[in-house]
Parts: sequence; C-alpha cells; structure tokens
Amino acid sequence: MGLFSTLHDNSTSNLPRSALAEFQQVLQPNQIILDEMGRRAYETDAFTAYKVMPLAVLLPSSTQEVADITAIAHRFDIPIIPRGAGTSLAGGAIPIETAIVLCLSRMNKILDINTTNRSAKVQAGVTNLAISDAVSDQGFFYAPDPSSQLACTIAGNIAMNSGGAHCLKYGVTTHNLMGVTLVTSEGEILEFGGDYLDPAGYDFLSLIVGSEGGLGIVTEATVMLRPKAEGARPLLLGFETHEEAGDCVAAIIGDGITPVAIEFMDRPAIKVCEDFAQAGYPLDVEALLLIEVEGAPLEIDESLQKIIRTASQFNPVHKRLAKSDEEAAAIWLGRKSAFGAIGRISEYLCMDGVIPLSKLSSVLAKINEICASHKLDVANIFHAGDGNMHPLILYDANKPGIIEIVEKCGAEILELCVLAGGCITGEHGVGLEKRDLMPLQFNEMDLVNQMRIKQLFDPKWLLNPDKVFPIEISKVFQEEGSLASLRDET
Amino acid sequence: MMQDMLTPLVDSEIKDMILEANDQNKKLEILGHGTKRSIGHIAPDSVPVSMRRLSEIRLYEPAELVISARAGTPIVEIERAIKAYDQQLPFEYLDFSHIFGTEQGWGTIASLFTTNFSGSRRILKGSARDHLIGVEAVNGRGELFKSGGRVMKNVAGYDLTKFMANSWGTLAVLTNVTMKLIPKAPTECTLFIYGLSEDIALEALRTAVSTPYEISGATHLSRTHAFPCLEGVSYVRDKSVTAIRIENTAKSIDYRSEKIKDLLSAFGDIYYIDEQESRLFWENMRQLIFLTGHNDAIWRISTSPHLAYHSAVKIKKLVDCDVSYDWAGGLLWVTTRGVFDMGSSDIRRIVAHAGGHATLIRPSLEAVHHVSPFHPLDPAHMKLSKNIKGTFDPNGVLNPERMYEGI
Amino acid sequence: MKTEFTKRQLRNDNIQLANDIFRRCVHCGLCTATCSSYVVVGDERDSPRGRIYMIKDMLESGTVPDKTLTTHMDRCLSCFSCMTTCPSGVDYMHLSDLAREEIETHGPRSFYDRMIRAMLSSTLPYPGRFNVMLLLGRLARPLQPLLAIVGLKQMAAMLEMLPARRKKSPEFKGGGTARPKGQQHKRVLLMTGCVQQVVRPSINDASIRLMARQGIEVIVPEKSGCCGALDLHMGKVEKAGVHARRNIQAFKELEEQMPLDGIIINASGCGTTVKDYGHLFGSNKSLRSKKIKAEDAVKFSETVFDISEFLINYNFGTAQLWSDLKVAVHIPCSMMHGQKITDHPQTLLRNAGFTVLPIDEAHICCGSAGVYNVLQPEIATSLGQRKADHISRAKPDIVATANLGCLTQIDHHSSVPVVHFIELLDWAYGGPCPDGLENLKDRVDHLDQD
Repeated sequence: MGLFSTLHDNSTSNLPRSALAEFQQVLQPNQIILDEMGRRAYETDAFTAYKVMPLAVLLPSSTQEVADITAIAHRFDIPIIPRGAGTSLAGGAIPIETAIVLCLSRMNKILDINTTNRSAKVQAGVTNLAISDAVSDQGFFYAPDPSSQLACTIAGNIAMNSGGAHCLKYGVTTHNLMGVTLVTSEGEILEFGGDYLDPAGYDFLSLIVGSEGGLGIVTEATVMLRPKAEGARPLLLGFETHEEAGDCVAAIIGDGITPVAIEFMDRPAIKVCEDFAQAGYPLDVEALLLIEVEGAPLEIDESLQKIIRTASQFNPVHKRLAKSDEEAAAIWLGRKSAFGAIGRISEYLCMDGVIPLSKLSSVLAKINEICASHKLDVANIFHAGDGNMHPLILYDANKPGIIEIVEKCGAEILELCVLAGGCITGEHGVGLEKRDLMPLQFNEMDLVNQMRIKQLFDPKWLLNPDKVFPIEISKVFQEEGSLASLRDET
Repeated sequence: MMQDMLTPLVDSEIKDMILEANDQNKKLEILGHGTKRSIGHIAPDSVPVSMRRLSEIRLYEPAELVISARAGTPIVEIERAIKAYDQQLPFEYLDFSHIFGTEQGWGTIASLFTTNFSGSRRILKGSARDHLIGVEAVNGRGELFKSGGRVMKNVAGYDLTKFMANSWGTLAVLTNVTMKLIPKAPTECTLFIYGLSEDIALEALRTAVSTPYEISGATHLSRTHAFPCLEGVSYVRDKSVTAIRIENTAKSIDYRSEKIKDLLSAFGDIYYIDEQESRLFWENMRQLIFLTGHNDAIWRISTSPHLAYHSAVKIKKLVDCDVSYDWAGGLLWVTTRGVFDMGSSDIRRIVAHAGGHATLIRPSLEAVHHVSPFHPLDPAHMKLSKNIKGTFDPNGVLNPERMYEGI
Repeated sequence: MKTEFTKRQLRNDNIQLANDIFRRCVHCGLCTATCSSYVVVGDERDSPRGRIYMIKDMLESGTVPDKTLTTHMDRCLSCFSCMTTCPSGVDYMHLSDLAREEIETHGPRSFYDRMIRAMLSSTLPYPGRFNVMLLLGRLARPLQPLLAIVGLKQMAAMLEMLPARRKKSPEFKGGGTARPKGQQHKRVLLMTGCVQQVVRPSINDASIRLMARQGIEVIVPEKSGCCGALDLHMGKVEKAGVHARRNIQAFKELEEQMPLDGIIINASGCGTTVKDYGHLFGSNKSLRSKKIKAEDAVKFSETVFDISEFLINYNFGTAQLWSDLKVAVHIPCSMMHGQKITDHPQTLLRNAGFTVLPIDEAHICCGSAGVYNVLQPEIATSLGQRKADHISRAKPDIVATANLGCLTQIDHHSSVPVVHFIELLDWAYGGPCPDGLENLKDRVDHLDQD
C-alpha cells in the first residue's frame, strides 16, 4: 500500500503521492487542482442531482499531455473522468471518488479551416458555436446545434453524439464528424478518419461518437462544414390541443417537406420562454410549433405556403411568421434558452426520450398523466420533427425526498417512450442519470455486445467508468466477462 | 467450387448455423444476392449462406420516413414500396451489375449497409451508413443482439448499428435493418460544362458545392469515361463533362440554376440539362456506366478534395490511367491499364500521403497478380480491427479474410 | 440548484439573498463561455458557475473564505458578461459583491496584497492624492522592470499603466455651472468622477461643451467625487458607502434648490455602481443614516443616466465635420452588461457622420475592469491583447469607448488611437480635435454652417 500513501500537505486529496509526483512531471502547477474547494467546483455538471468530489482535476493543453496523463493513470489504476465544459444534462462528467477529472477546456484552438474540403480541424475543447463563428465569414457553419452550443465543447458533443434543433435536416454529430484523434486508456495516440469521407475498414468513428468518453479521450476532431442557407424564417403555429399539433408535425413530414427544425412547446413552456425572450409567443394556446424553413425568399415562401396549407387541416388558432431577422432571433432565443429560463421558476429534471412521430400526441397525454400521478408539474419543450421529447419535470430541490419521486416519474416516462417504439435518450446521452434504465431498451445480450467493446478499448474500465451501463450488470461483466451468472440466479 | 448453399428462414436458424460452424470449425460466407461477391476475398472452403429467404418489409411509416425490413429483402421491393409515397433511399447506392457483367435488379437491402457504397448524392445527403438507424443481428458467437431502433435520434449505448456499416459481414449477420428515407425531390436539373481540364473542373465544382444551393451531385468525368455515360443524355460525347445537379421544386431549381450559371459563367458555356436527361445521366452514374466498355482495373478512391487533383497528377505520371471525380473531388474513380499490379503500389502510396484510401473494385480482366481490394490498414488499426473481430467472431466463422487477412 | 442552509442561517439577510440567487442557478454552464476570465484561463474555478458553486459551498459550511475562493474571486473582472448570457437570471453581481465583502473582512490576504489594495483605495478616488501619486509614479517608473523581476507584479503593472505624459489641464476645473448660450431646455448634474478628472480631463470638458451647446445647463457640484465602485469591487463596502453617501447628499442638497432632469455619468463603470445605490442601501442597513435613507438612494439611482442614454433623444442638427473616419466602438462591459446599453454610442456617432465598425467578441472585457489591470496583470494583459487583436482586425482609424478604464487599457495594448465617444461627438458638433487624433485632422473637412 506504500504507493497509495495519501497526500496530507496543504490538501485533503487522497491522490496517491507517487502518482501526483508523476503528474507533476508532465504538467505545470497551474494545470493541477488538488485543493478541496477547487475540486468541489468540478464535482458535478449540469445534472446537479448528483455530485462526487474527484481526487484531482487536471487541465492538459495538448494531446501529448493527455496521453501522458492517461498513461500515468493507467499505471496507477486511477479512473479518469473526461470533461469538456461540464454542460451534460445526464451527469456525463460527474466524477467518482477514486477518479481524477481530465478537463479539456484549455484545448480550445481551431487548428485548421479548409473550405475546399469543407472541413475544420479543431482541438476538442473548442465550443460548438466557436466553430460556426470561425467559418461564418466564409459562408459555412457546423450543423449540430445543441441548445448549450454557446458553451458545450466538441469533445462533449462527440461523447454524447449531440443533436439540436436543426438536426432534422442536417443530422447529429455522427453525421457531421470526419475524423478524431483519440488517446486510448493506455495513453496511445490513435487517428481515426481524416478530412475525407467514409474511412477504410471498420467504422470506428461510429463507435467513438456516443461512447461517452468510455473508449478513449478525443483530443482533436475534424468536423464537416456546410454552406449556410441564404436565409431562414421561423413560423409559429398555435393549436388548442396537443393532438392537433402532434398530428400536424407528422403530416408535414409525411408531405415531403423537410423543414430545418420543428420545435414543440406546451402551455407552461410557452409562458416561461415568453417571459424571458419576449418573442411574441401566443399565451392562449395549448401547443405551439416553431417551424423553420431555409432558402432564398422565394423558396421560403413556397415551403411556408405548403406547410401552412398542410397545417390548416389541423385547425391552427395562431399563425405568425417572423418578418425580420430580429424577430426570428427573438423567436429562437426563447426556444434555445428554454431550459435556463425554466430555471427561473423551478428546478427541473430534463428527460430526453425519443418516440416515433405517429405516437406524439398519445405519448404527450400519458406524460402529463404520469406527472400528475406523482403530483409533479411538467413543461414540454422538444424537437418534434424527430420525435425527441424533452419533458421538464419541475420540482423543488430543497424538498426532502423529492428527487427520488422525480426520478421515478422520469423512469416511467422513459419506459413509456421505449414501449412506444422509441428510446431513452436522443441526444443527451445515458451518463449517470439513465444508466440503470438501459435495460428498458436493451436485453442482456445487447448490453454484453456493447460492453465487450468497452472491455476491448479499456480493459481496466478506467475511462468514465460507472456510466452508460447498469452498475450491477457492468460489475458482473467486468468480473466474469459475461452475464451468465446473472441468468443462473433467475 | 461453390458448396451447397444454406438458406435460413428465421433468425434462430442463423444462430444455430453459426453455433454449429463454431463447433465444427467451419467457415461461413454470408451472402445476399451475391451482387458484390467479386469484391474482396472469399475463403475457398467456406459454406455459403444466403439471406434471400429473410425477405419482408416489417414496418413502413411514410409519415416518419422510416422503413424496416429483413436483411434479405430485395432492394427493388423496398424501392417499389417507398416510391408509392414519393420517397427514396437517400444515398444513391451503387449498382455494380454492368461492371461485373451480372444480371440487373438484384441486391438485398442489408448489403447496401454492410458494404456502404454510396453514390453521387452522398455529398449532400450522407452515406448509407448515415441512414442506418437500427439493426438486429447474430454475431460470430451465435448471439442475437439488437442496436438502435426505428427513431432517428438514439444515443443510448454504443452505436453498434452504424458500426455494422462497411463491416462486410465479418462481425455479425444482419437479420433486420431499419433505415431513414428522404422525400423524393419534385424535380431536378443538371448543369453541364464540357471540355474543362481537371483542375479547372474541380475549381468549378468546389465553387458550386460551397454555395447554399444544395448541390446533390458534383462530378467530373474524363473524356473516356464521359462517352458511355452521356449516351441518350447529350449530343456532345467526345469531351470531358463537369456535371452539377440541383434537386428541389421547379421554382427553386430555376432560381438556383440561374444563380450557379452566373457564378460559373467564367468557366465556360453552361448547358442546362432538364429533368428527363438529368435523371438518366445520374442513373448512369449510379450504375457506373462510365466505367464500362473496357477491361481495365477499376479503383475507387476516397480522399481530401483539396489534394485530389495533385494526387491524380502524380498517379497519372506513374500509371497509364483515366481519372474521374465525384463528390466535388472527394471521390476519384481511376481506371488503370497494363501495369502489373494495376497501379496498386503507386496509387496507394500517393493516396495514403494525401489522406484517404483506395479500393480496387474490379481487377483488370487480364490481371495475373493478386492485389488486395481493400486499402491496407496501418499496424495500430490492423491490431484494433483484429481485436474487434475477435470480440464479435472469436473463431473467425463469418466471412473470414473477406476484408483483410486475419479478419 | 439545491441549497443546504439551516433555518438559522437563512435568518441572516445576506444568506437569504444568496440563497435566492443560488436557487435560480441551474448550473447549466452557459455563462462559462462568455466569461472574460474563463475564456483566458479555461478553469471552472475562474468561471461564474465555478465561483457561484464555491461561494455556495463556503456559505453553506459557514466557514470563512479560503485561499482558493479568494484567488478566483479576485480573478473575476466584474464584467457581468455572464449576466447577459444567463437564461435563468442569476444575480451574479450581488452575489459577487457579497463574496468580496466576506473576503475583505475574513479572507486570507497577504500583507503585500492588503497594502496594494489599501493604497489603491486611498489614492485613486481622491484627485489631489492621485495627482501626487502620478508624480511619484513618474519618478519611480525606471524601477518598473526591477519590481517585475522581484515579483511585485501589481506594483509593476501600476507603474506601467500610468499615463506617460501629463494631459492638458482641464478647461473646467472643480465645481461650477455651464449655462447654455441659447434657449435652455434641461438642467443636469454631471458627475465628473475621480481618476478621470486627472487622467483625461478632456472627457468632462467635452461633455460639458457638448451639452451646453444643446441647451442643457450642466452643474458640477463641488462636493461630488468618486462613486465608490473601486472600493465596492475590492469588497470595501463601508468605504464605498462613504462615497455613495456623499454623492447622494450633494444631489439632495442641489435638488432642494432647483429641479434636475438627471444625473449624468460619462464613465460607464461608475454608472453601473451609481445606478445600483438603491440596492446597496437597501440590502445593507448599516450604510443608512439619519441623513440618507434607502429611499434617497433609490431616487438617486433612478435619476442617473449614462450620457449616451440622455443624449440619444436629442436632435443634434447637422454635424460640422465631413470625414471618412472609421470608428470601432468598444462598448464597456459596465455599459453592455451592467446597464444593458448596447448601441447608443454607435447611433450617436453614426448620426454625427462617422463610419462605425463593430468589434468581434464585443461581449468580452478588455481587461481594464477598474483596478483589475493593476491587481491581475497577467489576465488583464492577455485580455488587452485579445481586444487589441480584434480591434486591428476591424481596421479602424479610431477606437471609441465610453469608460476611462477601457480607454487607458486599450490605449496601452492597441496602436489605434482611442478616445471617449463624447470627445468625437463634441468634435463633430464644433469642439476641438480630441487628444491623440491630431494626425487625423487632415482627413476632416469643416462644413460651413448657415
């Protein structure tokens, strides 16, 4: 146990002294956070229901430093929690007690912009929006646009396969990523893909995207750039019932129109967002659709006419078209700030289930029933075009025992989504929040096939362990290499 | 000599077959209709397993643009079903029947994904892999598993769905696939510029795909390659052709084609190819008509667009060949003549240097030497790939050596 | 966010205030992206979210501020860019005031640190003392590299920031009244600030001339002085209160004699603090006195206008200059985030015939932030450099801003001449060419006035 003698001088961290000495060899003092208050700042992310203090926080500034850290951690069997901006709504960056946090926030440089390839190579700590900002002058943008795009990093987007409102047309992260530099759990630096399409051999990129930092640490990424549309205009359609709004969405998609985005808000959400953004949302409707179409003015007019024609069968009681860029910006500001704006009135747990479009209205009704049965309020605001629901279950965090009730309510909602033919998470990731709900969607064999991949990339389960997979199941698998013993018991 | 073919009907039969193969140390060759059987190595002693009896459209929700079908469902059947709702497969899958001299109209749906050969529209709409949203499969251990589902957004767990793309049946036998469709564009047109040199043509294509006009095809065919492809499309057939496709409503393509014409006016005379000829041209592209009429080796090279021309120049210096481009320079089609290794060593060295990979789609019909069809992987990727193969198929039962030695 | 205060703790007004603020925060992290210190340092502890979390931890545990919290609160520029970004409306400003007060009273500071802070607090707000310090500073300037070497970074930074040459003496000195020539429409009180009087008196001169020309009577009270912002940002609430009381008192006395249409501030840093007197006296009972009640503070705050806010409604007539000068406008954080004024200076300049250019990353601080560039020279310098880079990319002839601190900081890092926008307006409507723009005079033609 000599190796694990704890560090007592000016810090309460239990990081083994000899490991610290090695980290100090490869990092500057200002890249290592050991003091209690400092580590506490990293104990949670945007999923604040849980928090655990890490042993230390390391702030590398290059791929090589990440590789060095990982190699040391591997030698000392110290788990690593990779972190970008800590905006995960699923607890993807919440530490465990025995882990160090490896935060990529200082790796925030854009390395290369190549408009001929329509690609940009960036360090993984660059924020999502910073890429679009950097290429906007040249008429391009990076398509996935999670609501946290201002702050969230590409590393985190890759880890969670993030989406966003405009993914209806442009796809999610996995559709917009061409290559990554990955540091393996042993500290080896590997390149996957590049600045060309459809890499040779097995499609490792598809595994890495959405692996929640469990297969390696992405330090650099080459992302696809797309030309910006000539213009875009949002249309607001208000309905008296959720059913009409839901059916209207399905009808629009089925009609062969693909708007860039179709967003849905229910009455409570409309009110909060309107209070924040003063976007002119109607306050007297039960459901509001925000539909955006792109193109030149004549193309926008054509699409909107078609959409309005289709929508008219569903009795919209409110119709408003953004007439200026400012108006459009206000309309989007309200939507993009929705989660934060809800924070003004209440704490919330944000769900992320996905359902087939045809089930939209029936699922919405049931969600409201479920929440009512737990005496909880809910605000619904989500990407309707691809069926990605975000019910926000509102609660008072200071009320003792409430979080258990809220989580139970959330689990019931996700079960409902799976039964409807959907899944438990569309863009936020499983993280800590939903790991034990994975069996709703996957049987043991499905999970074993995933866990074998984890085992292959990270045999010691050091990279963001305790995430994604149900904790009991993953423990058995780690010890026995299969789940046979689980079945024997039952 | 092909052994007796196994034709399972249900998933459990496939599972049993694989378990038996594991027990008896047999190898299985997983086949659809065998349309791409010429690509890659077939282990000589393997037992062919045809998926053709697993044929059924399980679910089709036009309002969700989602279709789910059993693996062996003929592509034509899927296309027939979705055509009724004016929908289509987004990625313009390649049809190899002309260059392999096989019968037309064959091919199973799962094979589109396991081989991931996307056509010209890939540049705008993404690859086959991008549209695969759910699979059910049996791995080389005989375990049934599923991944993904029927919704487009799904980030629960590792994405084994897309990982099955381009795996050539070496990891698992897909039994069911679910994919995303797109609405068929109401109409389309194509702009042609004849006789451009390659570098100028690539500049024109780059300019076009950097506009907001959603170019869904950006191709430059060499004079030789253009000739067969332009039959029925254009009277001019003896010049290189640079083609830019626009798909949308009639109003929109009028507007967009005018814009592009203005933008590219300095590149030469621009010819407007209207809907009927445009469709024919791109259908010819999809069927690889431009690569027919000779016995040359056929290479398909994915690379960085900004280095495409330089790479092509280097290749031409060393190898007697013709080069055409798709994906605005991101994809090269090279037909090589007369070199003993079909240009393999030069092409692969040059492509590796630029970034990308070269697949030998068809060896020249006179070829004596064997050339690996797939671009060799570097040692780190090879090791990882072997390990992955080991986790899905530890005894090497499924399509052994199809892609690489030891995989 | 969940908080863990006991009922007893919540009886304390400050804790209650803090609790209300914490409960609004959902820890989403959007604020990190626009935080001026986080963009440079890239450490959660140097972001608003990290600071809020650490303050919460300190208050909940009932402990005194430790070294970590002190270091990272000190690194906050109080630019309040985070508050513009925050969708949940978290009142970071008042939370940080509270934390700073806690640090000032109980925090672990070295003797040297305390000394520097005491020196700044006892010289800068007093023009007389500051003048003496300037003189001494100029003499000590040769020592600057030496100080930097021995690790007295703040001292070195202070010497570096001092104006190299004496500015022209002010046209209008001390208290007084400027009466307009023609018809008088309005009467205002102008707060002339403290450091500004000494470092760039031409800003006040230009303000007085410009307003008087527009028929506004401008009164500069003898008794007004520093607004208290410097002390407030160093956690010296009591001292800030002294300044605030004096200003409120001066206003009260004047207001009793004659009606005032507004209190005008031409330094946005001061404006933000002065507009917040209401809160300062409302939340801090000890600051109130017999003479000054909370209502007086509120009334004072409500009467305060930034000069751009006051002038935006005026029709200045035709400008007297014709020029092709391009002006990049840097809106100070105190104006953009503190007072939510984002485009008045641009509009005024455009109306006066200048070509106005935007600066990228406008929401990030230039690094001046009151005395920040003295206390945190490293971060201030990288922010200054960053701002200068963005400015040079806009390719302007002139940078205009609305706060003396920014003016000094940008002047230090950028090669483009920088002025207060009010000096440009004054120039355009008949005043003299502003200091530092002499080289641009030949790009300007005077129009004949009918």
